[in-house]
Amino acid sequence: MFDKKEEIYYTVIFTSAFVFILVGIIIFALVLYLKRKRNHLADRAEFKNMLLASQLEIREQTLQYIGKELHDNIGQVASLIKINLNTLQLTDLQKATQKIENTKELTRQLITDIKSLSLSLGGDRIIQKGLLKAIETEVDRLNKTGQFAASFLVQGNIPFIENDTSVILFRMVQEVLNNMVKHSNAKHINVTAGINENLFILALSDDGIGFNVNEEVNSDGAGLRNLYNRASFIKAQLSIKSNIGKGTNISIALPL
Amino acid sequence: MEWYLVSYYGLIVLSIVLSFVAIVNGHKRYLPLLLVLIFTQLVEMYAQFSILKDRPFVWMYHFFVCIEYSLLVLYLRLAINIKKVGRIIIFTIPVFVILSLLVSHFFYHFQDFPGINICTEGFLLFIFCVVLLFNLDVVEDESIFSNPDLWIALGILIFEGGTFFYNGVYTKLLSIDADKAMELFGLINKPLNLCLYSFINIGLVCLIKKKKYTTR
Repeated sequence: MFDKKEEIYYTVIFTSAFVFILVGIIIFALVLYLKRKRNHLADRAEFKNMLLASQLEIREQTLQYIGKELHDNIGQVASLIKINLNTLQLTDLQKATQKIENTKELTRQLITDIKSLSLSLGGDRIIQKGLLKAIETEVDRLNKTGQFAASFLVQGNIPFIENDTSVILFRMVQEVLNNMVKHSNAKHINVTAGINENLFILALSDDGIGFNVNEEVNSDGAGLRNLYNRASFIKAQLSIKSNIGKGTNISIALPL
Repeated sequence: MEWYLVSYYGLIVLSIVLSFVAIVNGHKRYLPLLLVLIFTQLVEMYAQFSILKDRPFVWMYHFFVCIEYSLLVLYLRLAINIKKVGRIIIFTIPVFVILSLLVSHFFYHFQDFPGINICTEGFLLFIFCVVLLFNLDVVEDESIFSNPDLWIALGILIFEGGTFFYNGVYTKLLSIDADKAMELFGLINKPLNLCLYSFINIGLVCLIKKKKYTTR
């Protein structure tokens, strides 16, 4: 069949070219896959670090809250009980009875406060109960301070959000609320959770003094950059709108 | 029956059984692959039967190439996780089917072997398999070699690439010596066929051993 050597050369050249191309494709595909796998593992490790950091920050904030409650509330009530008992004079039965009644009331209040505080201890447990419940607890805490009128509104049926994502979302909400408490001078704080198409949207707003978003993002402080980082890790869109004197609106949109 | 036919049909039947088991196990996106394997088996059996009865059978390859291309592209579309590429891939199905039937009608009159159609099919599938190989899903705890799509894409790549390169010189060789050119065609085509179905079977075994890892 191969009368001419040329024909053999063609066949050999074509076959060799095919084998070379094939081997090249396979090697390139393997290298590309390994590179993508390395990037994927690095992203995963970074996500785990971020998750761990969020969990630690949530715990730290809970402990701070408990410390403050113990000092400002439970400690005060316990001191009052101690003063009542120290100044109790059994010679005057009427006054003594009144003081005992008063002490009983204080003890009841103390027990209630300790019970409510013990619920705060399980920061992680609140997350397990659900993101919305955890946010509601945060809003209740704000209201308890008496400095703000805070509200939390849930619109529509919110589907289950994965635990890791919930932890990071919750930490973002905590960070935003902390900033509002510390810097906004607001009277009203509103938090809304809802669904828009395929997005879970958390919107937080205040009627405070507002700030210049660009300046804050470009400043040395890590607050806003942290928020943007956390949002990008859970593939959420973070939008911050604020004007001096006109309050702040922050929304986190998470694809479902 | 010669050893090649036994191995060839055996491998196709095995891949049909394995892909059926995989689908029953929940890997539903491999349904187009099962269908193309069943079609191939039926067409090959009909071809053998026609050869024995000395009846024409080449006409059916004009339709088979359209069905085979559509189903393989559907499988590749479901395996490639890039929306834009997926849309382009799907778009090629109607274009290929229409052009292929036009060529069959006006050029081959549904009588001669559809060489151009098969060459075009092979070229397109070769490209899509390369795209799939470059975009294989990363699974954290598993080696790339346990990825079923790697083996299946490699099988198609080697088969289509091999026959495509040979098809390029086939016409030239036919003009020199038709008998020996066909003999050479068999020599190249047979191992490539065995290679294709062996790789598909390896991929399907990997798939069956795998946990149900995605809903795709």
